[in-house]
Amino acid sequence: MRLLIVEDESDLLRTLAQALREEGHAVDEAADGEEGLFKALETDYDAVVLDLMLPVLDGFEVLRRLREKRRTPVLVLTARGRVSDKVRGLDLGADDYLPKPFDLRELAARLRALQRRMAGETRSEILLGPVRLDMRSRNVSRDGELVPLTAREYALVEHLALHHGRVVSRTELYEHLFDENESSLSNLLDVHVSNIRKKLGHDFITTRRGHGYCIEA
Amino acid sequence: MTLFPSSIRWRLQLWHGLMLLGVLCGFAYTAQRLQWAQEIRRVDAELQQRVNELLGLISRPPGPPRGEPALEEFFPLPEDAWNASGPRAQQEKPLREWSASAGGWFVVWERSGAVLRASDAAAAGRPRLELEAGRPLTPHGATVALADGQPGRELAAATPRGEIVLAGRPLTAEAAVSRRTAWRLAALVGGVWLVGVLGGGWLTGRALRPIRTISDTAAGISAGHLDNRIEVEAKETELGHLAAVLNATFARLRRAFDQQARFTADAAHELRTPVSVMLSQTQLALQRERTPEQYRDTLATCRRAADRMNGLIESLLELAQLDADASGLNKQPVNLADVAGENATLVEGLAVERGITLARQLEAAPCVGDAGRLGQIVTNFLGNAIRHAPEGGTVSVATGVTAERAWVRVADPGPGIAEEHLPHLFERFYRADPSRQRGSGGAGLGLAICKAIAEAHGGSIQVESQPGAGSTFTLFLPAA
Repeated sequence: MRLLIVEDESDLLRTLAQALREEGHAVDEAADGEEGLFKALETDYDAVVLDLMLPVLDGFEVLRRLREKRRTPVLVLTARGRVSDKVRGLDLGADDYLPKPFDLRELAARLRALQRRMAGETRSEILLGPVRLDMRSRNVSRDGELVPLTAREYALVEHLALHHGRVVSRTELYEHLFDENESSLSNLLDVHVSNIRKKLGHDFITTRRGHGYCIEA
Repeated sequence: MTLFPSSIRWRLQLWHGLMLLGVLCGFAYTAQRLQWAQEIRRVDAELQQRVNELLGLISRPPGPPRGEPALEEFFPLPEDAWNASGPRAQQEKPLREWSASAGGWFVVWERSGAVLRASDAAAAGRPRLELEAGRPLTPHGATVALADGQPGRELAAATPRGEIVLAGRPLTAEAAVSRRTAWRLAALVGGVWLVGVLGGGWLTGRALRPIRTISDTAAGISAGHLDNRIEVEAKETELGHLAAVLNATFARLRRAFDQQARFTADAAHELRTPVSVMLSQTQLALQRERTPEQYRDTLATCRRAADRMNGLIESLLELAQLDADASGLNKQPVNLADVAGENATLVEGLAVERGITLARQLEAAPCVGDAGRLGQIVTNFLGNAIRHAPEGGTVSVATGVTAERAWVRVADPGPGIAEEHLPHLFERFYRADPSRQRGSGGAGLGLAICKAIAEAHGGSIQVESQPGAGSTFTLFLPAA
C-alpha cells in the first residue's frame, strides 16, 4: 500500500512512518496541512492518515478540499475525541476515525480494512486458483504451502490480487509500491515480477505488453 | 406541617385572613353600636314626650304639655289636684295607659323627696333622684338593667323649683332587633371573609406562579440542564426583572461550564499527543530486535514526550494555583523598571542569537507585587516579541507610571496579530499562530498564565496589534 501520513508532531510522524514501512507499506510524510493536501492531490494513495490539529491548514479543511477532487480513503487520527468532532470529520468525507492515543496494530488493521473496502473485498483472504493470499498475516501460499516472499514482492502480489482481472499499469504499480524517496529504477519492477513468477508459477502474472501486468481472475 | 407554615403563600394567606377578619369585625361592631345608638335616640324621643307630659301634670294651669314649662308655672299644687274627677287625673290617664301597654313606668317626686305620683308600687318605692335643678330642663337619660336582666331606658328631668319627673320603659323590642342585626352582621362578616380569603388565595397563587416557574427552572438548571431559561410574559414586572437577572446568571454559568469543559478537553488533548508518541514509539521498538542506536532513539523520543508532558502539567498546576488562591504570591514593593531590566538581560542572549536589538527605556514604576511572577510576564512578552520580530529588528521594552498605573510595555516589529485572534489571545490553549508547531512552542498557556498573574495582582494586560505593523503588549498594575 502507498500511504500518506499528515501529522505535525514530528516524533509521532516519524514513528508512524517507520511502523507502517515495517508493515511493508510505502509511506510518504507531510508535516502540515498544506503539504499534506498537495501530496494527497498529487498522488493516488491507497489511504491517507490525517491528523486534525494541523498548522497552516487544519485537518477538516484538508479533508474538504481533498474530497472535491479525490476519493482516497482517509483515516482521521486525532486527539480530539469529542463526538461532534468525529461526526464533523466523518460527514466531511473521512472513512474512519481513530482517537489518540492508539495502538499501532489497530491502526494497521484499520488501514487494511480501508484498502479492502476500496477494492470491494470483504474478507482478508483472496483465492486465486491454487494461490491463497492472507492479508492479515501477509502470507501467500500455493496448494496449501507457504511461499516466502519479500515485503516488496508481497506488496506487488497484493496490489495485483486486489485488482485481479484488471490490467494494472507499470506507472500505477510504481505509484503504489514505492514512496516518494525511493529512486524508481524501471527494471526493478521486472526483477520483482520475475522473482514472483519463479515462486508462484509462470502463468500467475501475465504481461500485457505496452499495458502492464495482470492476475487473471 | 408546622403551626406556622413557612411558605410565603400560606403566610400571606394567614396574614391576609387575619387582617380581613379584624377589619370586618371592627366594621360590624361599629355598625352594631351605631344601630343601637339610633334605637336609644328613638326611645329617648319617646320618653321625652312622656317626661313633657309629666311636667305638664305638675305645671299650672294643667293642660297638655307645651314644650318647656316656664319657671313660674311650677308651684305647690292645690290639695284637690288629684281628685279622680279633677283635670290632672284626666291628664294622667294617657300616661297610665301608656304605662300599661308599653310596660313603662313613671315617677314624680316633690321637692321634699316624697313621691307625688307613680305608675306602680315598684316605681313608688324608688328614692328621689338627685338631679340639680336646671334651666332649661335638661333631660338625663340612662340605660338601666331591669330586675329580669333586660335592659331599660329612663329619662328624668328636674324643674327649677326642685320637682323631679322620670319616665322609663324596657328595651325588650330594641334588644331583640339589635340581636337580630348582630346575627345578620356576623353572617355577613363570615361570608365576606370567606370570599376575601378565597379571592386572596387565588390572587397570591397567581402572583406567586412566576416564582414557582423560576424555582422550577432553577431546579432544572441545577440538575444539569444549563440551556433552560426562565420564560416570563411580563418583562417589566419585578419578577420579570428577577427572571432576567437569573437568566443572565445562568448564561454566565453556562459559559463558565463550557469554558471549564473546553479547558479539560484541551488539557487532555495536549496530553494525548505526547502519550501517543510514547505509546507508538515503544510499541514499534518492541516489535522486533533493534540496534542500540534505534533503542537510544526511542528513549530520546520518549524523553522529549515526557518533557513536554511535564511542562504542560507544570503550567496547568501553575494556572490552577493562581485560579485557586492569589495569596501564594510573595507581594513586596517592587520597581517594574528593575524587573523589566533584569528579565531583558536574561533574554538578551536569545535576542543576539536571532540578530535582534533590545531597546530599553526604563523609568521608575513602583508598585507592589511578586517580582518573580511579574518577571515571568515580562519574559513571556519578550520571548514572544523576539520570536516574532524579523531578523535585525528592534524589540523595545519600556516602563513608567501613567494615571496611577505602573506599566511595562514590550513592542515588536513582527507580523502582528490578526484581529480575529485578539479576543482569544489570553484563552487557555489558544494559539494565534497555527504555523508554530506544538513541539517547539508551548501548549498555548503562556499568555493565559500571564493574565492570571496580572489579575492576581489586581492588574490587567492590554494588547495592541495590527497585521504587518507589529504588536504591543502592556502590563498595567496599580502604582504604589
